[in-house]
Amino acid sequence: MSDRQITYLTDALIITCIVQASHADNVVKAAQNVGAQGATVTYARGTGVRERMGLMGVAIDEQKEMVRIIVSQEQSDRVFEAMYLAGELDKPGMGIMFMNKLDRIATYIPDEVLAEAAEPKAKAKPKAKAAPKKRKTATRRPVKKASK
Amino acid sequence: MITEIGAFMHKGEGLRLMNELHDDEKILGIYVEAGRTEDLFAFREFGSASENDIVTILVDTRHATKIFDLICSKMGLDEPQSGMVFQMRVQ
Repeated sequence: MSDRQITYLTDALIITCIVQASHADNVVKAAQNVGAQGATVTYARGTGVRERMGLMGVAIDEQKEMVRIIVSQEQSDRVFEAMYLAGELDKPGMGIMFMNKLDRIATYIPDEVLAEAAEPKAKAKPKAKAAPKKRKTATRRPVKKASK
Repeated sequence: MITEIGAFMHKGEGLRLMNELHDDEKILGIYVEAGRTEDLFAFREFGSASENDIVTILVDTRHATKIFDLICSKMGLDEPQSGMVFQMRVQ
């Protein structure tokens, strides 16, 4: 039996935002300002909207940047709105963004953070009236060791 | 039903993972992209960002958990600074 473990996180969403090249930094900054931890940016090439905009299309950069941010369910709307406004997506041809629900995430979570998260439950005294059940957002299970 | 598994990892790790998994018959497709990330790795080449690979794997939902665990294990997610894996259903 291996001592390695995976911690699964749930109740998270991935926000994908496609904007013109060099606009991604503003979008990422806005997301971080409202609580997003980090972002991943990749480069892409877009087509469609430039052709449909006719002459105005020449002002739209064909080179795009794609921002992906993973956020918790609670902060998703706030981050989505901040990114939308920072990317000026309410203007024609500026880009598009969407949000997908994730089944689960796995990443390294320090033991002390996990212990801290579990602590309030252990300390909580039983109440006369049962509180509504909270959804489990992290589960941990052992995993087989694989050669790198 | 198809499930998409995505992974953010260090630069160069994406191709290595693709080479390791491309013979697996349960996997329908693997795609590797290169990008930059903020706040995922401590080593930062460009201001606050560092280079990374993004791997997208399409797999039948029946095998998703097995492949997900395999990727987690190969990436060594029980160590800090090793990246992130996520899974979502494709409708």
